[in-house]
Amino acid sequence: MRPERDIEEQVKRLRRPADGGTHDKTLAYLLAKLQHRKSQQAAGFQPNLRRIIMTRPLGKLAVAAVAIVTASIALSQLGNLLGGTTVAWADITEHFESVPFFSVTIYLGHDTAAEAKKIEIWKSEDSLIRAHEGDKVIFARAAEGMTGALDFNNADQQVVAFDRSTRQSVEADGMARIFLRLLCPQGRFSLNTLLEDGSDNVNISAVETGDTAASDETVVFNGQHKSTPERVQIWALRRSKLPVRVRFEDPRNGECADFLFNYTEKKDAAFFDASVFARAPR
Amino acid sequence: MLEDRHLVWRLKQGSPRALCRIYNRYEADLLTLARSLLGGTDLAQDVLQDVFVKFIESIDSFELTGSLKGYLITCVVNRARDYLRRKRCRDGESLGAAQAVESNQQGPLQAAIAVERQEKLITALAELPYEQREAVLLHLQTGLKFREIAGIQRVSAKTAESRYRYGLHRLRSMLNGQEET
Repeated sequence: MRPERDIEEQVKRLRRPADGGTHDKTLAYLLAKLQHRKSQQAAGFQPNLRRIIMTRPLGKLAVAAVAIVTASIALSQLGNLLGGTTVAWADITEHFESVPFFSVTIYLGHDTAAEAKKIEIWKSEDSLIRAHEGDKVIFARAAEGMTGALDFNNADQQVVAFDRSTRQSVEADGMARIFLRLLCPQGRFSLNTLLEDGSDNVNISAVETGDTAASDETVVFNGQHKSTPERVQIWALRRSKLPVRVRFEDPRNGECADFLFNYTEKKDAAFFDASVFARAPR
Repeated sequence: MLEDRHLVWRLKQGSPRALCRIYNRYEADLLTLARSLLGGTDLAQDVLQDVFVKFIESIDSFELTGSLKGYLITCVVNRARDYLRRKRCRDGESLGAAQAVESNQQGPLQAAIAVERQEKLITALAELPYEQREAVLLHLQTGLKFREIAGIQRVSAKTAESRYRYGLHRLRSMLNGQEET
């Protein structure tokens, strides 16, 4: 008389895998189905590359980097079909504008042998800004009575700065202020708004990258300045369509700028409050 | 679980590698289950293929809320029922020839005995009422808990467990009866 446990074990071991030929045939059929689905999706996409007009010669690295980034991002219809998933520039700029909060860390390098200059900027859900540059902590918010969001070209904006260690008020100048003005000139953070600051014609074309290990998750856009060897590369996430890294390079002098975007670190209101910072014990 | 989520996400992006990973990972379990439920090798292969085709077609709207294996098992079970209804497969039909997996690791005599025992088991499984067969196979071959089986069979967990117990008891009776004769 066989015990039930013995039968249970026998049923568990009753494995009948597919033979190799059937396995390969079925998998090939499924892959073809997947490919067909991808083709159908891609057919609905019409890439529309266009020339980007910039209105300012690329001078200093900071401005140049931002200008080229702007031009790249302004390729609003640029698409990428890597991995069969279409990601257009319009998607990226649109998603970036709708993200409630983010931070960006900017590394400015002027010499491969020298330490890069670091600038950090945080944006709150209420469009309050805090930036760190060297020993300086900068806070920005709309002036009292203003209903609009921040506009760093507007003199009425409240921008204050403190020395990070002494917490004494200092002048709110420096690169962070320049970046803020370029990034947010019209009341909202937008990659597209950066475009409006230029004056030089720049032709930037997208380069489709190869199928790399990360190409399923990321989409990469390459930009090239029309009349200089300056170039820009932008990485964005396929699913969220948010830019995560923008890198500017000028091979003539080794200058570079890296913009690293972070969308996971949500800071509380006190973090953006200049008075809280000023009152805090040193 | 995290890897499954990642694979599903990549499949949503159209990754062939993700599809291969998912298929290779679950093919053996799902095919074994389909064959045991349906009996025909060809039918089981058709069910598996159908399940994956539907999975690919609906991947855009698919949201993984539990385990991917559990989801695919449920699909196989539902699809197998459809096939049985449509093709009027009757319980008790041939379950197809068993492939004695153990036979490669044993001598010829032991292998022959193992194959014979498997064939008897398959025959006995085919004679079980379908709900009991489903409960036995889902619990033993896929490792589902009774409450999970209950969800698939749309009965209470107690009923699912009872089906399993009755099925196992019946299997035991049939196999011991065969051995005694």
